[in-house]
Amino acid sequence: MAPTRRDVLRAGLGAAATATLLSACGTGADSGGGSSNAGVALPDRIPFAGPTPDLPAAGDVPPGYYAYPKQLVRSVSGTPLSGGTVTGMTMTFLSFPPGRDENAAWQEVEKRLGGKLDISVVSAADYETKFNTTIAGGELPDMILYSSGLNNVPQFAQATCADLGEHLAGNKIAEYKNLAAIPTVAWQNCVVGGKLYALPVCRNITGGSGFVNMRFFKELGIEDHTRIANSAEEFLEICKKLTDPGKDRYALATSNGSMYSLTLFTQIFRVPYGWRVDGGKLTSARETPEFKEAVAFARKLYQAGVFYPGSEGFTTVQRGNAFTAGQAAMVYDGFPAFPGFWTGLRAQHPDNDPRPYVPFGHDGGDGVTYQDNVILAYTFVKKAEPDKVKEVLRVADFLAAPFGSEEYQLLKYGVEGVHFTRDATGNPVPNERGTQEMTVPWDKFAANPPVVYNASGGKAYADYAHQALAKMLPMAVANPTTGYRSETSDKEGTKLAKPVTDLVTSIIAGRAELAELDGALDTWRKNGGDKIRGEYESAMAAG
Amino acid sequence: MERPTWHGLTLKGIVLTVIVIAVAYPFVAVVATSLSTDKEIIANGGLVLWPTEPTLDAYRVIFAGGQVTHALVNSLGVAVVGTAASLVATVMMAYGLSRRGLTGGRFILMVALLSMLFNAGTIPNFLLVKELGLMGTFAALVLPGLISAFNFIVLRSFFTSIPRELIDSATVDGAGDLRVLFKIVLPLSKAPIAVVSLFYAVGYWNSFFNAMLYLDDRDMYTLPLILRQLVLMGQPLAKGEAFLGETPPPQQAIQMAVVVIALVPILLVYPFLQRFFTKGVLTGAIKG
Repeated sequence: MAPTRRDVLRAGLGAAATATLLSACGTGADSGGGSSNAGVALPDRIPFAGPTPDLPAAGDVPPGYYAYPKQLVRSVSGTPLSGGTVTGMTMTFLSFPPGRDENAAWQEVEKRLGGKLDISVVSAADYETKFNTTIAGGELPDMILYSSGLNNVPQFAQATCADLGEHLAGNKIAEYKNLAAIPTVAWQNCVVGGKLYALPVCRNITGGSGFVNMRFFKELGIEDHTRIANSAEEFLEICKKLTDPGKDRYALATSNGSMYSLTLFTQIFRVPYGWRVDGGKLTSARETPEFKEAVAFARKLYQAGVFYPGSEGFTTVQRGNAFTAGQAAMVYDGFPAFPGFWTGLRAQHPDNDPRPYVPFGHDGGDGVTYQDNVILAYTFVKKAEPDKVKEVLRVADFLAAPFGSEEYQLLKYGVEGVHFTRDATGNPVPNERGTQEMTVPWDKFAANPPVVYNASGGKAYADYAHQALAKMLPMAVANPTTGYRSETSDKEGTKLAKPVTDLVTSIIAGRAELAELDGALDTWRKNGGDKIRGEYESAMAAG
Repeated sequence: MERPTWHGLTLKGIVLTVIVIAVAYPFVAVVATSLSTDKEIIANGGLVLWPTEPTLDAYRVIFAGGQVTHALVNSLGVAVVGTAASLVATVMMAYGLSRRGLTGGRFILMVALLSMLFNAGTIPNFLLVKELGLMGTFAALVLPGLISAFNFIVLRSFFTSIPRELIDSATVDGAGDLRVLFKIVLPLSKAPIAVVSLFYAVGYWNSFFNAMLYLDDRDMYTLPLILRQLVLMGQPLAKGEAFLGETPPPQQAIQMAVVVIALVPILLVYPFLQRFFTKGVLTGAIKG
């Protein structure tokens, strides 16, 4: 099975890494293949005044809640629609929801909206195909989620989508309170062709760095999941101690296409995310000495036999299963996988203690994390008369309701008594009807960042997740090319990077020597790497 | 005939046992895993051969809410109506083009053959369906692929092989084209028609891509669309992309149950058509 998008993003570590959604953040006015989005007026941020959290928000660190808030805030007054209809198309990762006629939750949402919301829900795996054919058919819905697949995003946006800057830039966004709570960094990712053309579906900015099963680490006297080691060498020794083939237990499990979960080690060695910029000159992450050190360290780990045997051929599901089954003490996966691991590992063994891992520095300092999960995707609004665009934005504002609002509860859990009941601490517990009907992907049009909350996890879950995010977000480095576009990267980036990633996998597995990396990088530069660099540099120089 | 030696028998037995295991293993594993608990599946590394605590939970999840049942009815409808419509159209075209002296027959034959070599592509097909006003209808799943060039060639080859004298004598007795087709050609063509029917039925039963492109109303979704989504839900993409706090993806048992549900109808039909199958495929293979 193919690696996940996040694996690809991470594995690429450069031009190829940003070839999908981030590449869309360019301008139509190309200058030698590169283009920029500087000087675009973004919406102001007006934080949502929601219920008091147990763990406070700080900057981009989301608030944390031990239990579901008792006093909710109504975030949208009146009805956004006046009897009209708004159409939309988006993706789902869940099962298809029952249609409006059989879905009381959908009907209730429309009641609150004051009109009809006709949405087409497409499986995430098939979304790109459906998106492209819909575009080709020329019948765009009012809101359409875009993730990847177009080569000419700026031109497409200019021709068919509404310039949202006219409605949202600066303090104009105050009219839409829920959209106004979205962090600025998310809006930066929605600038296309020099204009604000889209609404973000926010994530937690960093995609996370993996998970540890503290049950095994505690056996070695390690208690703090935000600092499991103080140096690379110490980590190597810990991995050796964690590995016990007789018990079918290894320190790490990896997966196919991830270069032995190289992200775990690039973060320890502070490899930049995608590119490093110095005086206007770009160096690809894979050209840096830190990258070479990270590869050499991964090789050392491989030689020490701490990877689960054969896991280099695992799918990411198998990798997760190995972690859940206690065959691996540590695993790389995205932060949103935490609820699944929390439930899965504890069901498997009562002493299992899954927690998010925070990268340490190889030299005793801090590691880095990456701003690789700012948004899931973004939503275009179809070009129309200003009144219609405003109507669509009012609907999007409703759908982006943050945690702690009445609207969020309706969109996420449905109607109390119909779709959910409450447990002793007040957490909503979906009933069978709720489980079936609440799969409408309302949050895949526009969404605020997720907060830290897990009904079954309670205080322990929230503490671990919040501690990890509070550490990871301040150390999250951005890709300096975000917001700029390289045509060559869009079209060829992944293909150009493939020989390098293949070689790195071979180096770690001992099938090739580290010295061969320089030759592969020379080839990459000659075949298009330098062209990508040049396009980004000229785009950045243009401002 | 010479009696087989015990060496020979043993060797044959071993070879056959290995083949049977190779064929049966994945099927048994799929069925057994679909009946296992999540805990047991993870403990066994993903596949279970003998569930210690068999449960129908996966099937309960799949059939809850009636979504799969509804899709099953849709798929059966599309498969039955589609197969019937395709069969009628293919038989008509194949019979017409098997008769000599048909004006423009050679040209039509060439066009049909050409469609085996070149495909219009997804977007032109989408535009055509849209222009014909078929979007959001079951007809969009049937009409664009009503006649498969391959099936048409198979039938036409068989029809051409029927002795001309037989048809000529019927014509002399006053039979028209339709009577010749129904009374002489079709009764002689049971084997290839059974094969072509199976090809069409499997094609419509598995109809996924067209359904994904042309249908927006969830109530019209066919089984493969729903089943594929159930399988994908367990994939890492879903896990990685699910929002914090969302329900974890379902067990592998659900994915395996999905495979069982998709397989069973075809498995049920196959034995009834098997005796025609070999004969029919060979007919298509050796007649030019």
